[in-house]
Amino acid sequence: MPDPRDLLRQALADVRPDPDALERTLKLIETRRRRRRLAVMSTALALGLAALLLVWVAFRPTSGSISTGQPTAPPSATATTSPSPTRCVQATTFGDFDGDGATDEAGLVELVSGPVSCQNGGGVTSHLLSQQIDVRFGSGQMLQQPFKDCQPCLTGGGVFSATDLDGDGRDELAIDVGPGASLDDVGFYRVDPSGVHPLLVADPGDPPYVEPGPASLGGGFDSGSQSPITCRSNPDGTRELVSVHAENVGGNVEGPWKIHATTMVLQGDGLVVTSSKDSHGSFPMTSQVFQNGCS
Amino acid sequence: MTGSDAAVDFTAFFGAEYERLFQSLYLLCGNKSDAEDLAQETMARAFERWDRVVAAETPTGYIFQIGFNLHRSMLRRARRALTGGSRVAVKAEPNLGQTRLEVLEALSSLPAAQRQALVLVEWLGFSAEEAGHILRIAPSSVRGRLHRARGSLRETFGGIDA
Repeated sequence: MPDPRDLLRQALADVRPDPDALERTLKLIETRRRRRRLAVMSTALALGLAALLLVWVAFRPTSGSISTGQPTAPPSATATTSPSPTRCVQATTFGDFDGDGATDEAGLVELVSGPVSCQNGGGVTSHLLSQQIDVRFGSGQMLQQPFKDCQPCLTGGGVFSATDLDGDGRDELAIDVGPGASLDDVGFYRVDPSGVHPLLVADPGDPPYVEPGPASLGGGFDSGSQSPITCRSNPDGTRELVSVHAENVGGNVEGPWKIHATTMVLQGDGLVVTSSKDSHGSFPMTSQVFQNGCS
Repeated sequence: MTGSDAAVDFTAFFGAEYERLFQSLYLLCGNKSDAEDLAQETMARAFERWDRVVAAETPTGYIFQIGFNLHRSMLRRARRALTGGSRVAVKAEPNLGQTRLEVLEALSSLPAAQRQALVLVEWLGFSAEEAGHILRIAPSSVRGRLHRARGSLRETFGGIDA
């Protein structure tokens, strides 16, 4: 009777890595460095163009949207034509991020080298120079900030949503920042004219499920089509963010599931863990990475 | 640490770990070209986060965590493109022996999660606790996946010693 190790050894018989692997890897590292430098230069160029745009906006009687000039346009991949690089607006959302009572528009923008169609997912990925968050504030101010948290962004349901986690009337921004375990991680950010800053999980967090530091929350490895993060609005007006880590300890999708739920509240720019709970049982199936009950 | 110190450390680390990393990813992917791409991408990312790698409790485990996460991302992209499952295709390679083909096909028929647990424990020799840390799951889940993976292989190859 074969041992699993013997089977794996058979599968690997005579399989040897490329002898030039180190050289190729070092080339890859250098290419990425160059691409990053190019991205910095492109960002500087984009900022220059943004400054020109601001001057133009200042002398323009009406304002438009970030992507298409249609403030109510649904989030979709669109490009504005410019020589280089191509700007692909991959998602937009509306909220009051600076708390001034006026509606702001935020967009996740990917800068792509060359004339690649924004509808071409693979082309965009392979020609990607950098990503940035653009915000047009209701006050007329503009923000363009490089965004480096994507691994990549929007792969798990495309969460890019304004959410008011503490009910103070000022929205926070939730972004699907890419591969977590089974489900993508969702990052939570404070947005104001000075920049886009991650909310911080306050010490001690709830390790290993929710670590202190930048709030990038994700589901359990097994949680598949479960919803790992929920913002809920309680009847008494308080709001809570619940991060769920679910593991299937049964033989099929019905479970049973081992569920760990971490409840947090937003205080200032910090998410403070108020409770955690372990349970076993069934688990409601949803298809959203982030259930936003606080929009 | 200076840049050249980091490069020297990285080169030594690369020499010590690359082959095992490549082999593990080959067992997960079923073909050499994807395994090479993932292994080189893993090492490039490790170089860019070298301070985190050397500060990790087990730098080797950290590397495999990056590699396995990249593999999961690759499966997600493939799934979206093909709207299929997580099964990977075993690409025809020259001189792929019949036994090896059978083993690779049996591996590819396992769910990715079971394949990862099998490679970490059976091939790389990590304990269930260490594998759980890398996969961010409980050791009991690792054991469960191993059990199911061995069961599937037993059905295919007519019995495996537990």
